[in-house]
Amino acid sequence: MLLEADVHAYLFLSFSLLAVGVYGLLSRRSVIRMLFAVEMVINAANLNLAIFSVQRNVDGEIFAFFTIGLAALEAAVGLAIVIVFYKRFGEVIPSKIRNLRW
Amino acid sequence: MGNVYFWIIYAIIIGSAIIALEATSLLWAAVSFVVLLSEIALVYFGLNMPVLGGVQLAIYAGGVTILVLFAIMMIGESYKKPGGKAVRAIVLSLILLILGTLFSFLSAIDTLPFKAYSTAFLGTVFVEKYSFFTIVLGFIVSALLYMANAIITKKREAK
Repeated sequence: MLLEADVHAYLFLSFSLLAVGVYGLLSRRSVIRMLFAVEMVINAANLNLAIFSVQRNVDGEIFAFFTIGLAALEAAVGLAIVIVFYKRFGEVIPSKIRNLRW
Repeated sequence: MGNVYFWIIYAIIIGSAIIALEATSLLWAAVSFVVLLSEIALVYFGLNMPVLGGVQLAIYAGGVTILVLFAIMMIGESYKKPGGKAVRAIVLSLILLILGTLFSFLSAIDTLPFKAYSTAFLGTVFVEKYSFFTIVLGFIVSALLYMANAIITKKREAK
């Protein structure tokens, strides 16, 4: 195997990615960067699924496929909302997005 | 722990993740995001998961990044400096990292040997155990798209 590392090293990688994603979600004010942060959190979860799948059985890998599909859908819907808001209001500031409530 | 290749990939992943959040140009942030996703695909390849790595490259590093690039080209770049929340966010994420790593070492996660699955076995399990789940997932996606369409239609009527 190319990457010789035990499960704790991979979990450390996953937690580091999760920490960077949480930092981005809490501190950024740009919607696209917040979307990057969400994708990082999802990728950290995927890494966990892959690691435990390699250790135990193949089901975690299959769930990682589903997660990747749902994350792509989430990114597409999120970016569509961002573009619609930009066309309507000329700016996209997350704290001011209140118009989806009815 | 890991060998030197693992830690090189670790440094590239975390470095590109930080650059994707901190770069002043959104275009460079997107490029850094592509590097991050490609390196994660490399981790999957290293774990003997070529199908998952290929899907990661095709859907994430290909599809999602192209969507983000189109969005950046349409709305332009607007960088806003983080406010006073940045310090609190760094502290919280560091606490999360330390606690998570500590619990992973303290917990009873055994160090079983890593296995390698063939693509044929992966496909067999997928079809035999999760084909129904795929149909449910398809219905969820359809419901989401229908709801999005309903929201847009309602807004148009209100206008």
